[in-house]
Amino acid sequence: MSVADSIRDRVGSDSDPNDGAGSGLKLVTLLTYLFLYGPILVVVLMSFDAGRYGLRWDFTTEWYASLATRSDLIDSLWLSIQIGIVVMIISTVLAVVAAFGLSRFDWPKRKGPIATYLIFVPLTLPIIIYGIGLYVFFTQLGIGRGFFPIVVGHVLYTLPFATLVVGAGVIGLDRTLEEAAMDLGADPLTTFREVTLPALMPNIVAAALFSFTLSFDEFLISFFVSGGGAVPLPVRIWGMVRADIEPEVYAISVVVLLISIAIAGMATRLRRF
Amino acid sequence: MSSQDDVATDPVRSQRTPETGTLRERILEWADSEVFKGSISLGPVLILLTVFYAVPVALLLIYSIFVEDPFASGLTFEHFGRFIDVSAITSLQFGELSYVRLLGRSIGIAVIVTVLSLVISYPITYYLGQYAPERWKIALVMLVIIPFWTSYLIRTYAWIPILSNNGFINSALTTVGLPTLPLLNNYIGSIIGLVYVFVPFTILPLYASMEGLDSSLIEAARDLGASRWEAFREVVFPLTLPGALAGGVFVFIKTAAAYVTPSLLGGTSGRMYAQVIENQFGTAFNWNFGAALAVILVVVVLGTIWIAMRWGIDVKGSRGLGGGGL
Repeated sequence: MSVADSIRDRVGSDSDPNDGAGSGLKLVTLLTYLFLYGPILVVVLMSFDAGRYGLRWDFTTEWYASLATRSDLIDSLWLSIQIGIVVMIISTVLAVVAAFGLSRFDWPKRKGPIATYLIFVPLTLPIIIYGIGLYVFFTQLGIGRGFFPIVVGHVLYTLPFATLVVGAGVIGLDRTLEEAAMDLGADPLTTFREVTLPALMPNIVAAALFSFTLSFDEFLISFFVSGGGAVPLPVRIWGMVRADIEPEVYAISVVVLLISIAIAGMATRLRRF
Repeated sequence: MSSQDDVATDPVRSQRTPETGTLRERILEWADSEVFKGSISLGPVLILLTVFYAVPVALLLIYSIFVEDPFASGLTFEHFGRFIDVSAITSLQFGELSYVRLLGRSIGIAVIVTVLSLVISYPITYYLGQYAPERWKIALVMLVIIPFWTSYLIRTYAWIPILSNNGFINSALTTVGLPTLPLLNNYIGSIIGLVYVFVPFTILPLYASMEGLDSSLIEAARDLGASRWEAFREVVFPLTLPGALAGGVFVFIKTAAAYVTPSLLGGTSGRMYAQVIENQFGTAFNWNFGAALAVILVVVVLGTIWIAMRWGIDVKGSRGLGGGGL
């Protein structure tokens, strides 16, 4: 207990940080959470609403039932999951390799920061620029739009995030464990497989989950390079919202939100902060 | 990720000195060398980044300086000229400067959104960092992070039923006999949606600063007679400002380039710069002009980062926090 605390105790002042201003702060904090989650709640409410807008709200599950008949939405959902899985695998493998390259390799002066910048430039430049660039690029190559360009775009988009998550683990790794394994006669490969990889697993799994959910929810890159039968779910949803609000849009959105919240929740718990 | 230091201080590595020996030993030595390991580990990633990121983006730069097809037509600055619209300037028709004005409006909206995001971020992070009970802290921070990783497209159009003329807010206003407010299809809609989508970018780095703030400093200020507000203004605010600004730079950049939110919520008066870029590729089919507009946006973004770094804002430090795209 500090001197200030003991004086405060004796004087009986009200300046204990947990009351007074604390309650005002609590209220504003609560309002901020309401701001963050209100719209998500609205989507859920609307998905069960028989009418459209307004304060009148009648419960129905018909929009969820009619989702089953929307083969376009089901196809897009399935496509988004497929893209997500492919992107997740490629991105995670590359992220593990890149994370070791960035943190374990004794870079000559200046080249290290350059490599770091190269990997993290995609985090800085507006995604719309990349989406358009990729569209022009694949059109010039004669490949056009479709599954492959989407996967390429999503891998490059998720890679920096995945590298950061794995990299945090590599930096935080206790090197003495690996050294102990080596001293006990394990060759580098065995050490990596038996010691390094298991120790990094939480970060690797988190990186994989983040890659999946980022790809699953990604819209702008897909918007420019999707087509030819390959329309991921966010692009399909965009079309629904732009045309006129079809009531099923809220039901399919709740499905999307549940998938991403579950995956992001798992990843956030695994990630070392 | 400045882990080079990590390696430099590693006793095992630094003890290893290159020795000459048989060819086999030399090959093994080389295979164990940093250069070899480095190129094996980063080579594929850097090649991928070059081919599928740098080249596509550079392609836009190339398109912007050719009349039509790159290398098949002449070099020109006419696309940039069209952006600036010299004839409109010389004829003093400032009303005609539509692209410059649109960029100006986007930057203006970006400033407003950044300021609002910072204003919203301060109370919640002050509470989370200094007052929140320890056992709730992780859960409360997770509650900020999770929306961050969910579809921004869905979270944006969720505002349509809230803000529209017969939406939640205006229905509530009508019920209590107040006039309705135009909140959707104008710049107010854009600003609300953008703040909503990007506020976690300022909350998370600011939370890190608040968390690291020594609470005895606040106590000391209070004991010396400062009111709560004075303690905040004189102690908490200056010490956490770097974290806030690092996040703010990101909100600014992302807002200046926003496409989805103004398209869904902005209408005509909330129209933003990225929408005209998309328009050149989607409907106008003027790739060269679109590319020039894109190059200008990149210059604005990089210029912002450059200025921020000159001001000593740790832009790089808050980079990895981004989820949710855009």
